[in-house]
Amino acid sequence: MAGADDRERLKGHLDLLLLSVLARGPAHGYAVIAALRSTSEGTFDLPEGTVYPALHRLERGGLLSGHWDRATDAPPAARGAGRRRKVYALTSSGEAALAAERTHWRRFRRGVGAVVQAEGRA
Amino acid sequence: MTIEAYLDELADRLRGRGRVVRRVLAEAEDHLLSAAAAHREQGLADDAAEQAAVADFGEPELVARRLSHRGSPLTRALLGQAVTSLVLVAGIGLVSVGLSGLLALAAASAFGKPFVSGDAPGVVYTAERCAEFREYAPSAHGCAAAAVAHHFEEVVGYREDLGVLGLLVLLGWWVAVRARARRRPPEPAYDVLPAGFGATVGAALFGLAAVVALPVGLLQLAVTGRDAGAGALLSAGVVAAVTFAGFAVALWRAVTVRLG
Repeated sequence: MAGADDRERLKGHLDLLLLSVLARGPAHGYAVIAALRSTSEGTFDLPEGTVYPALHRLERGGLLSGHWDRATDAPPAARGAGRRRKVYALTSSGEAALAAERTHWRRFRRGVGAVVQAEGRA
Repeated sequence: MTIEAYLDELADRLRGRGRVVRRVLAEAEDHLLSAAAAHREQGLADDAAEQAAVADFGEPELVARRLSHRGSPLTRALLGQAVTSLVLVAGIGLVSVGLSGLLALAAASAFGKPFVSGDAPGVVYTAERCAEFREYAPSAHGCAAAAVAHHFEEVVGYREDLGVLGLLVLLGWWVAVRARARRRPPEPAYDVLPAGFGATVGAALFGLAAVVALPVGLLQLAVTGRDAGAGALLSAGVVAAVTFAGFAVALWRAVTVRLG
């Protein structure tokens, strides 16, 4: 699980991460969180329940759309297979916001990198 | 804790409309069941798989607090953005009024105080009113000059006071916006209000003010002459026109950015 410092750092970038995961295609909350965890190699291992408010906020903001579906991909052992499941997808506004956020992120990363490397050389 | 017990506790702690709470619980249950199934696939027994799923989801109190919908978030966002925009417009507007006071002061230096605060021809004051003006401006020569001095303070002094108030409003706005940005993580720019809302309000208000004040001021200047106070309206009209131009440029930029 991510440490407190990682969680604080993550706060400002959670929306970008969620939008990036959903840019690969519609997914339900559990799949989004699992993708976040596996793609980040365990760095972003948040309390899973706390990711949903961010998904709901993005949905309210019009960046994601959500619709209820039936869980058909649940493992056979899963109790309640075929239950209702909410699937999120990126909207056109979400795509635009993701592009803008990626640009911000690249600029931020370049700036931090330049300073940190300069400090390292000093 | 089992998934059922966890969902019961979450349900007890969630706040909001029934239909929203019901959907939040359904989504949480789907997640927990998927997570437990994944843990079982990795070899955990049923009870351990449920406990692991629940532990990964987070403390019910924390999760419920973040998932609870207090009031309408859309309404709160709408109110927040409207207030932020309108306070900024009000601050800029008040500063503009202050600038019009300074412009009136400059106009009075160039053309004399009657240009800004002189009375229209034919205005006559009662003896009591004249005594009040003379009390206010004892060095003035005559009732008309004392009235001009009195009105000048009203035109210029009050406007400057409003300008200072505007600066305080803008300072308060800046502090509040910075404090809010520090409290919350940065979020993508999705707005409930359309882009350029504040600029639209500002452009409409100051455009209207300029359209009214400038022609009326010019008409007053043409009809009553230079020493009948036309400068009060003209200074207001000029600053309103400049402020309108500023808001119009901001609106144009907001619209062009929106359209890409």
